[in-house]
Amino acid sequence: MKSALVIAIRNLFGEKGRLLISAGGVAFSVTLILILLGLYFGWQLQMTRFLGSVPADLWVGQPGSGDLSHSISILSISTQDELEQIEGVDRAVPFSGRRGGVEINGNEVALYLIGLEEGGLVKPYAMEEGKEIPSNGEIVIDESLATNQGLAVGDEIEMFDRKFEIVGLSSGGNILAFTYAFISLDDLNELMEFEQFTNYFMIQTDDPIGVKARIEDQFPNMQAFEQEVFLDRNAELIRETFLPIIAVLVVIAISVGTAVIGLTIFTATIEKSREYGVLKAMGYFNHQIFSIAAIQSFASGLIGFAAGNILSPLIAKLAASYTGGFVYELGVREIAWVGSMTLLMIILAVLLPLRRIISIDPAAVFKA
Amino acid sequence: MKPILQAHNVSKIFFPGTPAEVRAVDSIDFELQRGEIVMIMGPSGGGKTTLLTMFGGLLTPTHGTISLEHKELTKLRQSKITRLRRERLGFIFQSFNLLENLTALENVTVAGFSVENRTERATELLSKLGLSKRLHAKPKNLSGGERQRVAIARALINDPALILADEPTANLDSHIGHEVMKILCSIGCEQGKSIIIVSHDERIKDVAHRVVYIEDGHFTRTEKGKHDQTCTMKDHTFTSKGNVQLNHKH
Repeated sequence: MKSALVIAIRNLFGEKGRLLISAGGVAFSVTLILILLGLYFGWQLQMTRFLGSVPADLWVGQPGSGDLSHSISILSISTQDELEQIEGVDRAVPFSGRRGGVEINGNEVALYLIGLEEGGLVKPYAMEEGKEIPSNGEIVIDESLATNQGLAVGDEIEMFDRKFEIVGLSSGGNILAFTYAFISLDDLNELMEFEQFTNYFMIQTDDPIGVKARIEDQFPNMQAFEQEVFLDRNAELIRETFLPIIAVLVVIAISVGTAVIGLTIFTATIEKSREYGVLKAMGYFNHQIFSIAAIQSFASGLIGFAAGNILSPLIAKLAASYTGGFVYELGVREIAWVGSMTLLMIILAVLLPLRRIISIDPAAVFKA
Repeated sequence: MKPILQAHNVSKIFFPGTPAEVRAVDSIDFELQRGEIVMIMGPSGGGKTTLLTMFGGLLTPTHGTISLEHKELTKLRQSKITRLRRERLGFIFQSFNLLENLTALENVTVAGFSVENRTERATELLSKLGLSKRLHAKPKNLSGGERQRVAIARALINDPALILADEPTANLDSHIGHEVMKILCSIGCEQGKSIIIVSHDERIKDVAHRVVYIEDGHFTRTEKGKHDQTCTMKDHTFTSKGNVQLNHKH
């Protein structure tokens, strides 16, 4: 094994061009997978970041609703008092918002307008600049929208035939399909002619399960969702839309990585056939020769994996500086998963020259 | 005393039963005594290398039997033959066949299978072959003669009973080739190794005890070599048949 290690390492570093290609192939593949996963988890996190910051234990909406993207829930505002009468309910607060297209600087921009009021449960996820709760005629937009559209605090935007002054820039509100924007609840109700309605009620309670049962029992035209369920249903948009695409791209990245490392190890094996034949003639077994190729493949994969882990956050950071929608989030679990995919690439790659190694005829080395 | 290598009625036929059939080696009987140096000479295509590869267990004869140290190669499993090769045989090739990315020392060391302190042993062998200052040089930085001396050290590291050398001087000029062969045979004599050299180089036949000529797969004649005049053989005498007899216990 020690001899195989010496030969493998010497061959690997003796041919730096080949090492660069095989490790580069893995690095490319690992970088691609990490960025795709980073975007997927980043978007998923982003999708629920704002809603997750709302201190609600239950969300009450119309049956069949349950997320902000797919369905619209409309409830009568008068239900608020009745909900607060239910045993276990500490507070019931309306949540009003509406998704719509707005033209800014000649570009069609998708916004999800949310009405805010002082003392309410809802506020932007985080503020980068300016005022948190807008007054009438004011708006807080996401910084990614501001970056993309060249807007700043103090600028005005026109929507639904009204002008709104940008008074704050929030963060954590870009979820690709739209960005959250915040106006006063009065403005929202006026714009949407929504005075008598709301979309959801946010319930604060110490007994979410019990309160959920009581609400659904008392109001058959309402459905209550625990906070985790509501967040999960909102994140489903990302899973439904992007997971299949990401899965295909990850398979392509793994195939590219496997092919590059496999072919470089295979061509190296072909080029070294004579040397391997000499080793066989001297008394090396097939498994010892195979371990030389395996060590080379493993080392290339390991170098590629390390390079990919260094490159991907750098590329993500660079990309994020150009586009606000580039949200990159990765945990140890995802990196470990990519590590196991790299191992899979190495194993598949090393199987490629196996047949070739077995078929090397040591007697052939006697031919000049 | 039993010979170290015995071949009885050995034939090798390639593509048997087809129009392309080639009888490379035909019904050959051969014996090699411990410590004996035999040169097999003949024209290209005469069957020299085929015979050598069969002696090395790298090619299975179509007919006949080959025994190395009383073990019949034709009856052994492939893994046993491989083990026998690593422990009892040393190979020297025409084109040196060193591993190009390894240093001279590493080339010898990686061939040491059953040797304790193989780095020390490899260093000692290379030094003995005059390469003490070239231990860490890679093959591309070594001359042809130096490379072949590394190959000799590699063949010797496992203390084999038999060394098989295939055209060892083909890629060397005549002076260097002769020197290298003298070194090989001196070490062979000193350590009591049996050596079979396949070559068509008439200039080196004086290093052998016996020269066997092969043509069209048949041995055509045998000559007594001039080994006694070129190598020191303190511990060996020859039998009347030209076979070497070992006087000391190796």
